[in-house]
Amino acid sequence: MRKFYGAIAAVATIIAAALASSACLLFSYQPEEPQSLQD
Amino acid sequence: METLAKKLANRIASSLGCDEEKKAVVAYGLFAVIQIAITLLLVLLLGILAGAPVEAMIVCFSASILRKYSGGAHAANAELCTFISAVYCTLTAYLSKKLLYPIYRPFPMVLAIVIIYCLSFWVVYKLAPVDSPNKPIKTEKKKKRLRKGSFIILTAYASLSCFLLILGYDSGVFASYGISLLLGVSWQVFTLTRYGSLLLGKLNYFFDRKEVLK
Repeated sequence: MRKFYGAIAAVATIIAAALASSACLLFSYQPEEPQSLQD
Repeated sequence: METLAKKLANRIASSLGCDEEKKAVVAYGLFAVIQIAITLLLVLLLGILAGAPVEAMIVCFSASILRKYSGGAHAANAELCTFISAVYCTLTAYLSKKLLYPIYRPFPMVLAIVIIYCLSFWVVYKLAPVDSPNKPIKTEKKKKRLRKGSFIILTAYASLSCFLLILGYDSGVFASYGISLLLGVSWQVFTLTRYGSLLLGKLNYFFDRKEVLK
């Protein structure tokens, strides 16, 4: 289960990092961006 | 959706022993995946029900890809955002295929393409990128990069619209796709303006009072 959670965390982190360079998420709701992903 | 992403991130973080910041990043990524998956699925399903699934996906993708660079007005919560996206994409897909395509003529379409793209380039030049309090754009360098990205995407859409216009002479299905693309771009550019922001503000207020989508 730890490996599975690790894989999910890795994928989620990659997606979060990829979206950090954009103006906002793809749709019209923007949750608060984590501090480490800000400019 | 946000609560679900946070719950999942909590479980993952406690299992892996992550700190608060890593947990917030995982929750942010999970939220994006959940929102994108649910919205796309809903748009596809409603598009199938409306008899125009491809058109619905074209509206959805054209608006969201441009939105990644241009930003725009935001809904108060993820559920309202998904609801607005699904309703707009389905209605405009239906409009494109069932109402506008039967009266389609090349000359009015050329006129629509010219007017919509001229207005879009002007609005993007003046207003993009439009940020939100939850994701402020702080540096001038990033603003310039996002504005440039918005121009590149708009140029690609304008070329694609011309291409679909040419293909539309022979096959009606491409004419319908071209109308959908124009409606997707129009919505996204509208959300950059004060009027788009006002409309979303009114919807936020209305649904917040009704508590329909909480």
